[in-house]
Amino acid sequence: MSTERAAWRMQFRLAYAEKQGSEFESFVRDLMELAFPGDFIPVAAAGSEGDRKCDGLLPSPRRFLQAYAPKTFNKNQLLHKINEDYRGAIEHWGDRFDIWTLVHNSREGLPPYAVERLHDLSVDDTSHHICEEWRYGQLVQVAMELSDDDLADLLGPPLRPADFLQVEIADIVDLLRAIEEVTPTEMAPINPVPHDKLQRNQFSRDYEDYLRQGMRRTDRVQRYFDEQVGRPSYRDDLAARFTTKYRLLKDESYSSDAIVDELLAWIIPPPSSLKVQAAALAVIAYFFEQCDIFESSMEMKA
Amino acid sequence: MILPTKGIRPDRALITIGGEIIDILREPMTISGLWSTLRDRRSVSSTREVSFDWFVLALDMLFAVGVVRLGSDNFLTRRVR
Repeated sequence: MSTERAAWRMQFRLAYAEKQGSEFESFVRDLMELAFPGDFIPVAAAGSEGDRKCDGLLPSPRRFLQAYAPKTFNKNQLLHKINEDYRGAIEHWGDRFDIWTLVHNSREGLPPYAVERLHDLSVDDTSHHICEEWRYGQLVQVAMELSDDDLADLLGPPLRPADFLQVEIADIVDLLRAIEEVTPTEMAPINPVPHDKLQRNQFSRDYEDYLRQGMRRTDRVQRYFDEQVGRPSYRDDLAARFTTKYRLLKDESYSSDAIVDELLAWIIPPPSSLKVQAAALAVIAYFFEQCDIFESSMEMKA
Repeated sequence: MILPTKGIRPDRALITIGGEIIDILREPMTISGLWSTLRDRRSVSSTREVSFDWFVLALDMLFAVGVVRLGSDNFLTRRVR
């Protein structure tokens, strides 16, 4: 994978995490139009008729798409959404699709009651429609099949090394404030940084490059902490929050690359510019260097 | 906070500031006089400045371990020789 495509993959992850409601619907629609030109049929709301419970159709695989991206899932609202939208799709579009697909923005997947409902709808449907979900995994595969031009159209330009050189302390401050809200559960010990830490944590080459680029600006992060005369323990408090977040992801068996993605989505306030993304990588690289996150070779040997 | 950490350098740790306070407190001093002397000393040397809040925490630590005391005349004195 080229460095640009790896950057786009990271930016896709951020877009997937940031967008909600109608913004997410538009994002999915744009992705489908680029990925399936001439096949994907977007459906727009038409006054009092609305969109008839349809965000788009893919006639070739006979797939019906309905996007849903709330801030958080509410059981009653989610089940109502699935039931009503599926019934409406059968009523208005029943003979035009075989697969009804709920496209949502939860990377962890749907709650058990929603998964169960999709299965029950598939089993109960006398017309033999299949109900399933699409989330990050399916969408990013579609996105990574796009050409460079189409990815730029969808996500904007990729993050480049030059973007890191423009990171200043002011860019870092807001990111650090976002971390303050998390309650820490542990304080990191003081350990020297093993020289092979990047290799030991099995990052992909592109993510290794990102962290190295971020390390070029960790001096800005350190300088900001040094200037906190009135809050000497500020750096350690934030580090504890970072460590807590890292441990949660590690316990869920996230890969090192995926952990970087999750940390970025955690600290970057939407909407995010390339400069903010570069600043965020500098912050993550700082805590990586300081051994607050990711495994040192001494820990892995144990 | 008392000892150095990743984020608190040795010259900012409370134990270090506490040691400086003991060194300054060779004769009875007011709290404001002690703070003024510590601040001036740190501005002359290359060590980083500390806030008044952090100075008070260092004093609290010294009180807690019985190294300094506040007399009825509101002068601070040290108990170690």
